[in-house]
Amino acid sequence: MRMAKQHLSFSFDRSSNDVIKHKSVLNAISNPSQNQKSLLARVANDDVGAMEQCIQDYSSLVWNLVKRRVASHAAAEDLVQEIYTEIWKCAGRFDASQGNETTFIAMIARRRVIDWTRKQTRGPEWVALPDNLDDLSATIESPAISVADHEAIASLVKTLPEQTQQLFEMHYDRGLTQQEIAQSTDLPLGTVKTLLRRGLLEIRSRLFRQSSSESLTTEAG
Amino acid sequence: MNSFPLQTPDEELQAGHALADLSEQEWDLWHAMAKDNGIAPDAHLEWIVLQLEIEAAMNEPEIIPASLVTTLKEQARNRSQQVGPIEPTQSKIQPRRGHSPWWGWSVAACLAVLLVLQSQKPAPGSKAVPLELSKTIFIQEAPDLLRLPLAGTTGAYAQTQGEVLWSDEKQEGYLVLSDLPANDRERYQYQLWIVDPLRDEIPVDGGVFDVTPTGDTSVVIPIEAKLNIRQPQAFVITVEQVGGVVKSKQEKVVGVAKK
Repeated sequence: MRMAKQHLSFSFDRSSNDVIKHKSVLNAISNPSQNQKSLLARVANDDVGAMEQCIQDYSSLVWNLVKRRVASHAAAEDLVQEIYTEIWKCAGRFDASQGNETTFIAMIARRRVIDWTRKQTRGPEWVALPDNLDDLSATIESPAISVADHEAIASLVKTLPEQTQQLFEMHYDRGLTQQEIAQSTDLPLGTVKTLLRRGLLEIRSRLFRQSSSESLTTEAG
Repeated sequence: MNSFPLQTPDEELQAGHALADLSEQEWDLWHAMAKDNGIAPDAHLEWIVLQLEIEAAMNEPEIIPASLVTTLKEQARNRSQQVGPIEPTQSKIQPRRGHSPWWGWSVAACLAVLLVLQSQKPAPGSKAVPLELSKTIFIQEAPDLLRLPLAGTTGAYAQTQGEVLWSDEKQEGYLVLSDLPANDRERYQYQLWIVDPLRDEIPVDGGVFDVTPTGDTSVVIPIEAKLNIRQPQAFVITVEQVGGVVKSKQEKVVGVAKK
């Protein structure tokens, strides 16, 4: 099954009043569905065709987001069903001007998975992300970050120091837990945690620096 | 080797929150800072982690089982024909009870009652019908019903108990309170506050209300949130001057319900 992989093209114009406008967020050429922008809007209207398209385009993404944290195959299947039920319910909240559908769907999936994991471990309460992209972007002051997609972020990881890059690669690309990384690298768990956190903060800093540069053109994909 | 500048403890916590790797001790610190300083999740960091996970998931070789895709599509088709949300099949997370032949009739009966109730549906908190009815309809309809027990504090409010019912989706809710002493409405009133760190560090006004000496031990109060609520973490009742205040000094807290 082909996974929905969006190739986003960004172009920023900071010429007027320091406002960054992204001229083209979704590149329809490489979108899996022709009517990408209106897919979730049609889902919100219980359009069966749109719902099936949404499953076709995004179920592998949802599945892999779930499987990264849920080892049990049966539990993962149940979670994916629950996530899609939530997508059907929340589709009407999607605002294309605030971000892309991939992020919207992934956000729903991630929240569900972390909530499920927390319940399994009875760990500390995890405060979820805001309810929708509108809420999320409302709290983001820099447009450069709110439109920075997964490929742009991944490319920034490659600019981090080698050791931090390796930890990110192990954690995200190979799906290792922090504990597994510590065992694999012989680093103390606390060091792994600290390096990942500082790497994350550094990515944010670099994005801020990008957004404050005179002009920025990012080609991802 | 890592050459990043040292981060402040706040930033470390924010990054840990985004990575969902806070220890229990750090969580305690997080909650304390949320309470004292209004710390809220850093949307930038949360966004970055989300994008990293998307990138990783998109590069995963594992393919979703075809049978699950088929199930999802069947559920989608059913949803378009059904009233109400569909349940996941064969759920291990929330096991469904075995359904007797009477199950369908029970559902039908409940739907019939719901339809009757809906035909009488008032505006939230409308005085045209009893609040109890509004509350009942609300409980049946709210897709994301949050129920939090509320406990009184000390002194005259030590015996106060109750429950907060709230729906983010409907932006509607009710307080069900028992043994809350009647107030002298010439001198003071009760005021509800909704603590929603994602929305604002300052609690949102949930409305001013009175408890009259009717002899009823239990009262239902509609929540009148003045702003859109996202993810309430707590509900607090305070005693305030008549008409309420914009920002409470919380000098007299009556009761608290929290997640």
